[in-house]
Amino acid sequence: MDELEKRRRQLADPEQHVQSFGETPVNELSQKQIEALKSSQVFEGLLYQSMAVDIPEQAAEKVILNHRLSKKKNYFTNWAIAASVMFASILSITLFNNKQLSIADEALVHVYDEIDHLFESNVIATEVVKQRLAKSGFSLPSLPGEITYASKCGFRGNKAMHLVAEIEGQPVTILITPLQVEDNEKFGDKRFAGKMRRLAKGNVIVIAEKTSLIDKVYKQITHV
Amino acid sequence: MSIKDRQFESLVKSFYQPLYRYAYWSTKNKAVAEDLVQETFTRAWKNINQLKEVKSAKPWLFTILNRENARRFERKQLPVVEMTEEWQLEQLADKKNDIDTMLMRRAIFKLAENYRQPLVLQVIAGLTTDEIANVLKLNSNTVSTRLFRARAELKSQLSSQQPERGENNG
Repeated sequence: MDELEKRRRQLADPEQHVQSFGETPVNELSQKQIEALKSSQVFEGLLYQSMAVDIPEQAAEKVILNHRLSKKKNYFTNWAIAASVMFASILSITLFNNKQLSIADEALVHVYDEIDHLFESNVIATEVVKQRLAKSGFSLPSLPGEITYASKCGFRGNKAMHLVAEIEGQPVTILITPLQVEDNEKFGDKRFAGKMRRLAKGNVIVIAEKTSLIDKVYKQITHV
Repeated sequence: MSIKDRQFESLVKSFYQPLYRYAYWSTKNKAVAEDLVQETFTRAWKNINQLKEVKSAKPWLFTILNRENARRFERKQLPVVEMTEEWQLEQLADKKNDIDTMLMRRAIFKLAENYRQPLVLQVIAGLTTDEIANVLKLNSNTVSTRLFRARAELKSQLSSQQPERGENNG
């Protein structure tokens, strides 16, 4: 490395620059060298100060919070996928044996397939829900207070409506279908319970983790 | 909380600040810089198994940030309203900043990106020339040259601003 390259490297890396002076006894430094050292230190201080822009408030904490939240969500998604794969396997065996699933079994499969919708958090305005029902040719005498999901779906190959209501802080699925159902038929598995009712403008299947919530929903939607 | 979670959170606490500052000087936009650092840590978490030694964490994170920054331009971009340099500099201004700091920031803003990037990595991140060379995929001599030229350019810009200040003051 020639002298010019050495000098250039020193100037490119001020720490090395300072160290190179540090090796020289102070009394051997010329006035010019001391001035150069001082000026370099002032320049580097100003450079650092100018580059050190303010950090947004609690920004690192936000990253940590996002990380924790996404881990929770992933844990739930993995669990839900595992549960639906297991359930689908059981049902496929049932399907193989029985050739066709009952409406009750298909309603449960539908809930597992779309399990993410049980955890929507935004409440949809009653008027919007009514409009969506009407578009699919359905109506209910009354609606449960807080609907968090309302969409048409192809339940059992027919035009149907899939609603999720929040009752006592828990999600309850309401499927409205033109299919003929057995009035008051109850069904369920280890997690969910369900009940079907024939109502004037659409047959309704309600599924929830607690039977008491199902009865509550039927009471609400049949209340005029 | 797993060991990996603790490792990750300690990386965030230790390196958020230099990463944000580097992201800011790379994008010249506070909001984009914040998003970029968030994306960097998201990517870092996905690849945390690649991190074998604590001492390599810093250059590793800056390399990820550079890659994420490059990815921004590959993604579909929404139309962005470009703010003027004056406006961007005003966003940085603080009552505690003196005129020298503001002039220096203006000069850093004007530096070409290939000079500004290694300089910020050295001054803010404290990376060595070799580490900067690895992060920017350059050879060490090129990095040294750019660092030297970046400082020379800043000094030249600052000295050209001096007479103006004198005239204004006088």
